[in-house]
Amino acid sequence: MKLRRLAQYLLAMLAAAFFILFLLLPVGGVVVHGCDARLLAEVFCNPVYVNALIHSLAIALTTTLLVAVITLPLAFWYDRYRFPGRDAVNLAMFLPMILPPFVGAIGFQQLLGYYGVVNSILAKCGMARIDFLAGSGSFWSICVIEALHLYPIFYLNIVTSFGNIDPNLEDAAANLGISPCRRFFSITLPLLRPGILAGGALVLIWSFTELGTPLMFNYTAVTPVQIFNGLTELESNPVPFALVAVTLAVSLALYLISRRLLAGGGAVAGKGNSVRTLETLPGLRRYVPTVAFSLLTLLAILPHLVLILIAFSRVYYRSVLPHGFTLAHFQEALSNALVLPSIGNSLRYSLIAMAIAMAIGVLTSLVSTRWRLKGGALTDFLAMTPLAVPGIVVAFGYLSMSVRFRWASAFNAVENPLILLSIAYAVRRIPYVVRAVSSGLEQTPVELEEAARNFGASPWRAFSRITLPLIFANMLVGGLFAFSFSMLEVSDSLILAQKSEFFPITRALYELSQILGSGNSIAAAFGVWTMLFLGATLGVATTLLGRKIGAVFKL
Amino acid sequence: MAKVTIDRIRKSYGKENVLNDLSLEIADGDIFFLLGASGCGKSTLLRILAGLLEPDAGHISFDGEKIDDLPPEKRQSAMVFQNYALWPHMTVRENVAFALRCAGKKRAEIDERVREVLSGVQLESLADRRIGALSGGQQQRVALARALAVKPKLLLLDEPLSNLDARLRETMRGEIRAICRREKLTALYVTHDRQEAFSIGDKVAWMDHGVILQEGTPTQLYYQPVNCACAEFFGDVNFLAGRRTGQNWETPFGAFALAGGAPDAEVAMIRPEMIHLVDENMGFAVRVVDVIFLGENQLLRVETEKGGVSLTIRRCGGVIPRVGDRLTVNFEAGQLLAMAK
Repeated sequence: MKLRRLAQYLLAMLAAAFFILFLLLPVGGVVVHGCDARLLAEVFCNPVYVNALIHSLAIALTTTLLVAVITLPLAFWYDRYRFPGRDAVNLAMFLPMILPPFVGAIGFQQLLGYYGVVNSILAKCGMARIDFLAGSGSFWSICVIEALHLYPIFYLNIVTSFGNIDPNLEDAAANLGISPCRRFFSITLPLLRPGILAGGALVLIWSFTELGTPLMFNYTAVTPVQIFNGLTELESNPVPFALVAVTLAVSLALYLISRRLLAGGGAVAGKGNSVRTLETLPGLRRYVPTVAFSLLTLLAILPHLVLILIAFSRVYYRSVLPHGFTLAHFQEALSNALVLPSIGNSLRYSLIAMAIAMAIGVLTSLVSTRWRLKGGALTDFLAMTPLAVPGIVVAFGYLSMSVRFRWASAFNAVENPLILLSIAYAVRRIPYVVRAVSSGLEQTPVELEEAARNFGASPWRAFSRITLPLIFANMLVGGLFAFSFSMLEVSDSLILAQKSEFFPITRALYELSQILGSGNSIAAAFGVWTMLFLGATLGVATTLLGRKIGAVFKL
Repeated sequence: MAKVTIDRIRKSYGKENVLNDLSLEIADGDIFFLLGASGCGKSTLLRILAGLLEPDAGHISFDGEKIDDLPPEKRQSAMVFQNYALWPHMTVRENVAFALRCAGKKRAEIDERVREVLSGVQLESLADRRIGALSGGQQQRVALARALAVKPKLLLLDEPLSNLDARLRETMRGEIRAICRREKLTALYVTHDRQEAFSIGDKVAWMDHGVILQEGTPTQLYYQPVNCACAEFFGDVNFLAGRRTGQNWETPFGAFALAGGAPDAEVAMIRPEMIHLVDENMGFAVRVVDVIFLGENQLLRVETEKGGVSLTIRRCGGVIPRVGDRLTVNFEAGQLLAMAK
């Protein structure tokens, strides 16, 4: 028993060492470098940087608000009512997860550009063209695109929270004569707080640090883009270090505040045995949820639908639909020297990342929810912090670490980013694996494993034959998410992959889109390939696991 | 089967002492019951016996051989868990066979034994069902079969019937007793249900705050409890305030002969069914205050005419008295017991 405990502590230390080495050390390095009074003063006095920070925050707040407004009524309908196509539209809510937003930006520009689809419709109706993307147009475009990409995270959290509310609580209020509206605001909404906080914080941090979308819009007045653009002249201008430190501070603050509020919630009502029976709305009203869900999904996939059109179009300019179709772009995409290697690279990086994330994630879950070691909470906290650490910060940290430490030069990103990029992908996906696996462990009583020990199974056998099969589905969810998010990762990929032979898909897409002339079409064709691929992966995941996916996106 | 010796076991969680130098001996082949309110440490003791918890001090031996250092899988002490802990990803057959497979038994032997125990609990026809497709009672029997399959030295039962409805509980009591007898098992059964203990147990121990306060046969614990708490735990009881004078107990409504008890006793007790209706002049007068009809018997709440002392009387059959009726009652000879508080 003592020996076993010792082994558990050793494994826990292994997990902790991973986080210290690949999260705290690199990120800490950047922060130390960035917390230079002169650099910070530059960040907070130079209007260019201040403006960018304000814009980034504004984008984050607007996006989160948009997401909340879109998602709350839908989640409410899903929780309460039976409507036509309920399961199908709910499943469709996950679609944006497989649609890389920065690829969608290409479609979005085609849609709203001065000579794009919407303006062509206006022109056909004899109205003047509107320049949607000029001025503050690109700000709103970025918010909308990000909101349309991130709403599934919020939705999942809210639906799970709804599911955790004991219907008796509302029935009790109704029984005491409280009106439906009052009931929703004074009973239901407070009980939804955990979901709102968790989902809100994730969306807020995500959109605050998003690099790909503003980059595609050439919107340089946000901090992440400034960091990215500053990379090339780091030697002469080290301000990006301070920008990274500030970004991290803001994200960490957002994260800690919401976790704090979450812990202070206290009012976690135990779910009784009662199950909510779904109601059917009368008359035509029962189609309202179906229509709303479908509209949102359509809106979310519209840029990507346009992207598909671009990929197949011969000419797509000043018209609603393309002039003529061709497969040439697909061929061009496949024959481009960047493309095929980038698919192989991405697969390699993402598979390794998935393996690392699953190994460390399962270990962390065991430490914090099963073994209950002293200091286990610390490991859990370490594993969750990547949620608050933007990809751009991690990537930046690795880059400077590999330059600074002799031992780290072994995985110099410039020479070959395989190890560093895989780890960078993994670190930031570990929280999702931990949440998925922990929820599985919580639903698997310890007694099942104890019973196995009691009936003669060795510790390893009890774990591998009883617990492992029971949490396998959860592990798979976490792993698949880690994999597909890695495939779509932008920040790390853009910063850490510097030689073209090591480009992952996202970096290759970015490069392709920069080619003048047919660049967008080729990038679009390539983007379609990627979406098909990821769609298949996540399709398999959702059919396998159904509602378990909801456990992944929690703080 | 084995003789089990528990020697001065101590266990605490932080500052809270759950078991205080608890010692106990279970004879070979006995069904031993451990009773106590929830939180008194009985489940902790069970888990220590199974090796799932390590005691802070003390020893456990089977047939005189210390097993303190054996890991759970080597102890041969099969447990029936309170919530059964059946493995949901396996069928009934796989659940029962798992332990035999861990023990490296041959396939034919496993099949034979599984068939044997499943027919013993009348579940042979459900062998290939998944656990989720079984009712509570069926799951309970699978848990029992799983524990029996390994022919354990000690069978541990942790409130195995607490999740069943009343009727099923009664049926299962009989089955468990029959199976333990047939397989000649030494069993330690933990529960807070005294009916279970009385109907199956050879020996019963009453536990409170981590120590065993009384140990004996069911009748000993029922009729000669060591203190008031124990008396109350094992059934309805009347406590009579009063004073001991020689072999008598003096109360406001008369003096009664004591069956026994300590000389410094502070209170006397008698069970409701040991108070009988008698002819006038053969007892003392009471007035009926309340009648509680329980089906097979009735509880009468009465007040003595002299002194106004409240008593509870259990009656079986006969005419049911009404509130306000005057009755004459008396204690059954040799049943009034003086005891410490």
